[in-house]
Amino acid sequence: MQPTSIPAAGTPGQLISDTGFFRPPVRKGAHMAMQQLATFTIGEHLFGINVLLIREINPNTSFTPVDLAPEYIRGLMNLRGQIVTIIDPAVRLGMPQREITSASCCLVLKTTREVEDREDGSQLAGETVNDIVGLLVDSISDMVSANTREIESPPANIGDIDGRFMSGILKMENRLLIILKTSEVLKEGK
Amino acid sequence: MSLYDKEMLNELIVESREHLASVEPDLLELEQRGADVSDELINRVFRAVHSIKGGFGFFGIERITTLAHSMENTLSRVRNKTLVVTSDLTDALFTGIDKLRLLLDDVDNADQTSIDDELAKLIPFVDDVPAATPASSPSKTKPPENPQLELDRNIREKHPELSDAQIIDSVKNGRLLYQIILRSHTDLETNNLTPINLFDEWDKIGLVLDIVLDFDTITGLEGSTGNELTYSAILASVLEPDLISTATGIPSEQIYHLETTKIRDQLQKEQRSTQPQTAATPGNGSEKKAATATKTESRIEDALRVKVSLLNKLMNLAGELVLSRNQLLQRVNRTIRESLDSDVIFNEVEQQIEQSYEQTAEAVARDPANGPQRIKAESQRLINLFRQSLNFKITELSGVHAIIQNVDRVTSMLQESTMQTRLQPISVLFSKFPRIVRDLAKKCEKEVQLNIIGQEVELDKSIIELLSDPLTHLIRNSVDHGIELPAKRQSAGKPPAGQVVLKAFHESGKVNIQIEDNGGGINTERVKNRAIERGLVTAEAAQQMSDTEINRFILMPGFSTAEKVSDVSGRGVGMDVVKTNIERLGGVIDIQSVYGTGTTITMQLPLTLAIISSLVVASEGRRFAVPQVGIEELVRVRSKDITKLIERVGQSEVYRLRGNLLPLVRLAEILNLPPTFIHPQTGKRLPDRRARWSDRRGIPQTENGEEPAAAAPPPEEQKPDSEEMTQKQWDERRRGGDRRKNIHNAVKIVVMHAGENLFGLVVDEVYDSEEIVVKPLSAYIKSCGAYAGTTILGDGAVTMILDTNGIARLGHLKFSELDNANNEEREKFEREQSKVLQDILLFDNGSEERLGVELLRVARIEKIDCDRIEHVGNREFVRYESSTLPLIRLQNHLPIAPPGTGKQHQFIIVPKTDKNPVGIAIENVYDVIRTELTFVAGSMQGRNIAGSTILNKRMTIILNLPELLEEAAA
Repeated sequence: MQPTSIPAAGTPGQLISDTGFFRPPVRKGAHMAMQQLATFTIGEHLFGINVLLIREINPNTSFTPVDLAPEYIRGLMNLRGQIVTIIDPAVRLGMPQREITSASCCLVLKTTREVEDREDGSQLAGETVNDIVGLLVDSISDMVSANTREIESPPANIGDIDGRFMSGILKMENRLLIILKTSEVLKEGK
Repeated sequence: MSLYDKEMLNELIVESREHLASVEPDLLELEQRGADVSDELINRVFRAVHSIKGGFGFFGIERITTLAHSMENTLSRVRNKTLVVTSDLTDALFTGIDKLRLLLDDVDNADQTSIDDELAKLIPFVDDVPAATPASSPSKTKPPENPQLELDRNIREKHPELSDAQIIDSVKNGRLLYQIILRSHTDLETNNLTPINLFDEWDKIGLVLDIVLDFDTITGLEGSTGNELTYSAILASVLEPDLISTATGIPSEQIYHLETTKIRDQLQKEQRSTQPQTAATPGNGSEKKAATATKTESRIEDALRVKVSLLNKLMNLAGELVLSRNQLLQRVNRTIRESLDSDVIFNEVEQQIEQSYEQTAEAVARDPANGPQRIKAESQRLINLFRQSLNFKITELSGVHAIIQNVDRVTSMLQESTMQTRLQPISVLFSKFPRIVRDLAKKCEKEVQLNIIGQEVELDKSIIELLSDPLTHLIRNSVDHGIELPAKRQSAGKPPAGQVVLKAFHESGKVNIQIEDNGGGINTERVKNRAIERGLVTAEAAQQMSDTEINRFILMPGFSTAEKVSDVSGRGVGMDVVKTNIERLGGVIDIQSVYGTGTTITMQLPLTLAIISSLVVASEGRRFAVPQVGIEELVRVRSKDITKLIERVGQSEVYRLRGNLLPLVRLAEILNLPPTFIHPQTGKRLPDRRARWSDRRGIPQTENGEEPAAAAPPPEEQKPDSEEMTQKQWDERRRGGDRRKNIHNAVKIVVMHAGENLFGLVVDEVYDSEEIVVKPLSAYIKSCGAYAGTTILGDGAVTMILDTNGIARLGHLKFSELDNANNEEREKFEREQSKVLQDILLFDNGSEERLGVELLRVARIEKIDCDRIEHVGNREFVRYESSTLPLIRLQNHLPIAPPGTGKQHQFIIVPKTDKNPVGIAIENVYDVIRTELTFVAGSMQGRNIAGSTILNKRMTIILNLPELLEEAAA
């Protein structure tokens, strides 16, 4: 694996939990040799998402709040006439709501249909939803290309983050990259 | 079935439905024409049924194929003129079509559905060839009078539907006929082909006249698997025999060239003798088609199938373009302004001023006497100079403006056309009515003609879908209840055949749909009586109502005047459903009817559902859109009335609205909106962190801790530790308007209806109404239950659309709990109303007696000069307005003393009356008092006196004005 660059932002947090328990290896995308991962930070952690799932990255963070909506819904954004539901993944992962700073960004994800429409997207189809959603992240980092073989199956938890939100982890030179399982983060309900 | 096949099957189903829809009007026309069969028409019907049969034959869905085949056989007899389309035949074919529709709805189970009834109906018309086994008996479809069309007998047997017309047509156009044997496995699947794309290919090289399953080969090929089906196709093509194999992709040993030279010779002979002017020239089929198409036969326009999602996307983009345009406009305007007041001009101005200063100073020093004048002239010159340079800048930039205006115009046009892509012609909907009217008229034994006007009018797809049921209902009503039986019509002097006109047209940006019949009309008297019977209206009120108003009662739920209820339209449940449906679409419905002459029902609908009219409201600085459909009225309660009109009943806050208790819901509370206040100095809206209104905390800091800087007061005033300052700020703040809690502000209530019940939504602000594009709600937000959708307002902000029912639910409005209180309130209101507070005008006649009259009955009080009173005999008149008014003196009509004489002026009361206007001469006018008029015991009785009572501590005689006027007129 050659990480194209190593993100400098943030400090390496608690890297690996002390648990020795490993889940059975994840077979998803096993035949794909290389994966392009868009990386971003939430709190101290570095996360990655397969770039095929991302429609665009938008620095606009002015949302219309939706009252009565679950806490992880930050609001709605006008993306060229389409309405994007902004989700705060941190809340789903058990962290407090993110404060919005100038570095904050929205990762607008593709809809299931858009993912399916791609030739190589069929095995990723379940990863997103039918709505247009965006993930609010603290800051955007670099692209990382990873060989599928190097992606390890996630531990039961990393810090406070439950393993079910990860589809894998990638050990980089001085950091751990958590590959986010979007399907789990995007699940409706609390 | 592979995914690909599934997709193809779906496509086929969609196409087949369209075919069926197109067949109906054609069949009706055929029925009307009877023996005068139009080739174009019958061919169209035939082709439609045939393609259904062919398509499903490929998928092996036997029942559809069999039924379609049977229908096709019948039609082929019509085409060969051996059968005339009668009403019974049309019925049989319609039943077949209906069944096919049913089968199409559930293709997977089609083969489990019985089609025996439908087949049985068709059997009398089908040639004695048994259905579904066309090849098993000798063919009789070949018309004996055309012996020259003797093709290979084998071919004829296999292709009974192959009509002579088709063959002649092909030969006329110089095409050669081929029979192609097609094996589903070998020829199609191995080449990864589907019948449809194969035919698409073939359509490029010729015309597929017919295709059938080759039953002979099925039985003949031992051991052939279910996969291998053999079809026999007849292809007409201009290609020579040696080319056809390559062109079709079928091995040449499976292609047979059918001999047509004889036919061609025969045809040419015929043509030469009969119609030499139209000598057949080999050409393509489309020319031929164009020539035969007649103008009376309507044809649905060819169109491109586009995904709705794509259209929606286009619409979004167009909408976004509009926003970008607006931003661009704003930006450019600002830039212009900025560039105007900054740098360029400023520098110029600076130079000029400096120059001017030096010159003027010099000039003034030289000639101090003319100094002031000189300075004045100089400053005037400078002003003119600035003005010129400003104007110059603006003209310089006007070029940019022209471009932007162009962008503006194109954007608007783009948006409009994109919107139109979602529109469909209403003919999609109208086309089913001829059939419905025909069937219904037959059933009711009436004669009904349906005229359809305005088929081309376009409406949003979703509206057309939702309009189907109400319109069907109205059409049924017209035929069933509107149009009378022929005998009755004749006795009323009308033509025996009734007429129903279904009309669509545009008017003032809306689509109008009108259903007009010349039937019996609505019996307004009966509706009125029924409405009074049911207590919907009092007899008195009903007298005041116009016929149109009374007719609207038929829109009430459960209202019916029909003596007998037919199974077609029961009346009573229908019209209110129609009304609700139309209103749900944002439309209005109007009934005009003349008893005995006919009824016209007009519906006015918006062009599109995606755009609704809404009211923008705000609470705590958050804006929301409320659909106008749900809004009953807006109420503003003045601050002084708040305590009087808003109170608590049980759990709910209520507002007294004309004798009803209106439960109130506060938007801010329901949605849990974080409280905010407006900073008195900056005008910014900031979060309010006080727990209670009485909290005396300083002005809160903004979220990121920075003090709103711009207009902030000097720092020493801001120190929160100074209790005095805080108090001062607090007072300012109160004046500045902390709206929510400031008792001195008016309460704004949006009265909305949730189902049958009304409730009031209390908001902070009511803005304008705005046409908004409704966007569906994200799945994540649906569970909130408060929103009906989202939208983007004109300024680009995403805004939630409130769901009226949802809000009522969230407000935990228990309407039943309110009912009791409401009844009490209503009683109280009615009691108050019945107490009849009246305004009494107090006056006297220049004598001791104090008199009173109800102000309600007085039109005016005039003060006139006594000179204006004229005497005619012993009667007096006064010129009033442009006429003369007889004057009456009260002492002549009441037991009161006459006034003294010798005054200059005279007051006259002019009572309200529609006949015999008079003026009542009086002396002094005292007061108008509002009182509950109760006459004291032992009250004065007598002529022209209503009674006497104590008003303003004096005994007052109240006149009986109507009696007095009558007496005066006598």
